[in-house]
Amino acid sequence: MQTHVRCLVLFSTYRDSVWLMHLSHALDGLPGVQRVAVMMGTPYNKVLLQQAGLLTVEGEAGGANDLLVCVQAETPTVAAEALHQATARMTPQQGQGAMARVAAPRTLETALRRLPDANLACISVPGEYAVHEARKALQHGLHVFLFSSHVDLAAEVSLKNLAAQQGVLVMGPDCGTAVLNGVPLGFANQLPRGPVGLIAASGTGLQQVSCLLADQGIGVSQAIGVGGRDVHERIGGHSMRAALQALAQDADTQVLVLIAKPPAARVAAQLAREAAQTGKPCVLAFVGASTLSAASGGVYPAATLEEAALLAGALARGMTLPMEPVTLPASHAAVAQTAHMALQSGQRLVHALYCGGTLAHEALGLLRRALGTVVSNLDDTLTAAHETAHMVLDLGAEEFTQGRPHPMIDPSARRPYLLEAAGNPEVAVVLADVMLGWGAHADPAGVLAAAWQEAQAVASAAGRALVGIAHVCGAPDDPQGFARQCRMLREHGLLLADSNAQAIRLATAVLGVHTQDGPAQQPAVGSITTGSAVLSQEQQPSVSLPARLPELFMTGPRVVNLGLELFATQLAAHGVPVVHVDWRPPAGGDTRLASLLERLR
Amino acid sequence: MLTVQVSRWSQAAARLLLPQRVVMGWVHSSYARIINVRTPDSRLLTLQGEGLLQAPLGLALATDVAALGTHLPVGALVVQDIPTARSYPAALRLRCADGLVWDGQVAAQPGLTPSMLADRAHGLATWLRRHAPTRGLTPLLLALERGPRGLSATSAAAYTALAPLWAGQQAFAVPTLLTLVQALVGLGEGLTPSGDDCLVGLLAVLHVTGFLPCRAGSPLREQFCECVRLGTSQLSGEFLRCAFEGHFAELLAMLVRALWAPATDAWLEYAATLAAVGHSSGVDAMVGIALGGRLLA
Repeated sequence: MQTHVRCLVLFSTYRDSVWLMHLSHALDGLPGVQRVAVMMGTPYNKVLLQQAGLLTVEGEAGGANDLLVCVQAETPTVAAEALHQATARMTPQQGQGAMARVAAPRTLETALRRLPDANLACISVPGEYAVHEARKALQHGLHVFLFSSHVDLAAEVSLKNLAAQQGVLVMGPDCGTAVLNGVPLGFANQLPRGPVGLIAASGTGLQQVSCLLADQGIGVSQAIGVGGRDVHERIGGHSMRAALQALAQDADTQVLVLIAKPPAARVAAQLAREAAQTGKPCVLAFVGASTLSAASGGVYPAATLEEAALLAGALARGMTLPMEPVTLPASHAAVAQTAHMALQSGQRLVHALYCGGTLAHEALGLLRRALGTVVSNLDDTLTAAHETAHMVLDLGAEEFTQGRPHPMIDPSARRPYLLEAAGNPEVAVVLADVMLGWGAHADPAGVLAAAWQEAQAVASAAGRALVGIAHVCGAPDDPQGFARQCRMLREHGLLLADSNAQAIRLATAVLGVHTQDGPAQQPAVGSITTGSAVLSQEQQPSVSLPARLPELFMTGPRVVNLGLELFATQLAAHGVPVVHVDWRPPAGGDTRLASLLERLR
Repeated sequence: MLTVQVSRWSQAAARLLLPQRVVMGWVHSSYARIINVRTPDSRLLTLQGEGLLQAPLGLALATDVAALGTHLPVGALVVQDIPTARSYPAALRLRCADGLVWDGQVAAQPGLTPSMLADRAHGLATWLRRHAPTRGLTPLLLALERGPRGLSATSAAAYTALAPLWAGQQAFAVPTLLTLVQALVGLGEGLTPSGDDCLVGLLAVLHVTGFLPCRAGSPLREQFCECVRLGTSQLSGEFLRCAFEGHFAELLAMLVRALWAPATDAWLEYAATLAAVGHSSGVDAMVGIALGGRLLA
């Protein structure tokens, strides 16, 4: 008699025992089914299933928190049908929320019939379709949170012009994070509410500053992402300037912080000028900017994200501003000295492996100031000779994420580079960031700790000590548990830094080089100089306050979500009215046909 | 956003949650009439309707929890309904301050002799063989007396681990406990695998006899928690960690207290009620109690 075994893994699925028994009996009763096992995928149960010949390669993928449904049947079709029935039985309960019990709409228009007072579209569909969907949303008077990337510059200009006409805001494209009225969109942390308003053309930059503020016990009023390219010369900081006007009028916002990788010079100048005109104190954190002007007119330039958070915190509390450059605390300096003593003479390099793009960018600038030549994929200086140079890798860059999730979602992408560093006799320090918050991996510290154990074994086998330094970018109330994530890293022997900048100071101290932060003295990343630009009077075209933005701040988002369902679930979890669109590419994915159809409407 | 009154909760849950702490956690899972909430420290609180607390970290809510579950997706934020939580965008607010606190701690029973222990363990084993002869791990009880014939894969695996201890003459010690945990954790069917339920019962006996917590020093606790972490689901692991600390679901605690109370048969009623819990969870926990009583005696 022939037998065919198939396994279904239902990840993170919990059902009471009686339900599991009923499922098992129901499948067992199907014609042609010979044996059925429905069990949690604990190690012991997988051994039992293996011994019974009921575990396949697919089933092996299940873990202790996953439900395994294993079927042995007379034919592959019968086995497949049994698993199909198991899936179908899961569906009514699996959705759980009201969202799942009603068939999802297929278009933005039908979603708006279901949520007529929606005020924001969250769009994460592939880039080639994102512009079309964003344009439709803007035409309906919705603000747009555009997570999608691969949108060309001309389309971005066109969307932002349309947004201005409609009195709404476009956050993005390539916008990773925002927190509106306490509601996190995209990759965002669980932040307390407070007096600081953040506007950022940098996702992880926003996360770093807001988390460091949360660590000081200071919350944010609104945190608005605008996408990294908003400060490009052609875009002219359109969304950042519009958001700035809105926060200037927002009664809950007392202190402003603008965050970006170095903007185009004219844009930086315009932003500084308009920030000064708001009448509210404003911190400018242009990460990696080479020359910064002194504070004037209520505008406070910050050399690092850490300094931006310290300045904003002091301004929010009405305290004296920190004047001295931040240095390494004595306790960290002592730890660094001990670690330095354990190194061998040939160990002289830092390899920094980042998930967060802006944190990597900041690290590159600070490390170059301290150590000289540092190679990186951020500015195409990475060469085959990287093994003999200091290195900063942004593992979230396009070249590393093709065909796989962003390392904030799957931090295991760091493992091979960590092991490579461990095997390199010249590497002394490995730097890593751990990004927490909504949308991020459920246990990034656990993933790093496991890889770090392997790395230490490699270095130890070669008779070397390897120093691991990590910074956990998270807020106390993040779903991963900030304290637990930190504890796990400490228990695995990693040194923890309170900020990205402090991680750099610690790394250089381990190498025996002592640094302090302050305005950069020479071009660090790129060649933009904001200092002179701040003084420039050359004006960008004016941007007016988006008329509908104050209403969004007042009532909070009501969302139509197109693309990643994860974002809809996250919003629903915060009690936000949200309709998820079961989005499919128009015209079956034929963009030319879709365009023709659009013109016919 | 919903605000619900907590009518009753366990002392273990109340201890986890400081009165000023805003974030209680996020919805971890939801099924039947249970909602599990994962705290920032990765513990699992169990929200249920009125009635006996079904979990050691249980909170009974004055509402229809099955209906509530349909409004709360996995990941939904749950906060305490206190003034500082006002700005938190939570899907559920729980008013805990006025909730009655139930002490689910199982403490050492003074004056418990080995013969009393063996006597009631035997009584419970007999009751199980009569009232639930084929359910869960009950066949294991007979197999340990008469040999492993016709056992399911789960019972056979448990038998392999238990038979040497059953036949042995040595006293129950820390290594015995760890051997049993390694042999049973994550074993078998059910949301909480049969082996885990059995261990919960066994741990209850260890508390009644005073074996725990006096031996619950740090190394033992660490080894126990590590076995649990690697061997079973978060949900079942929470029950085991609580059991190690002496906290149990209400019905199990009532059974254990009654079982070795002098001159009373109240335990029979509790046993009948517990046997109806889950597919075989209640039965497996009682098998653990019967085995533990015999091994400890």
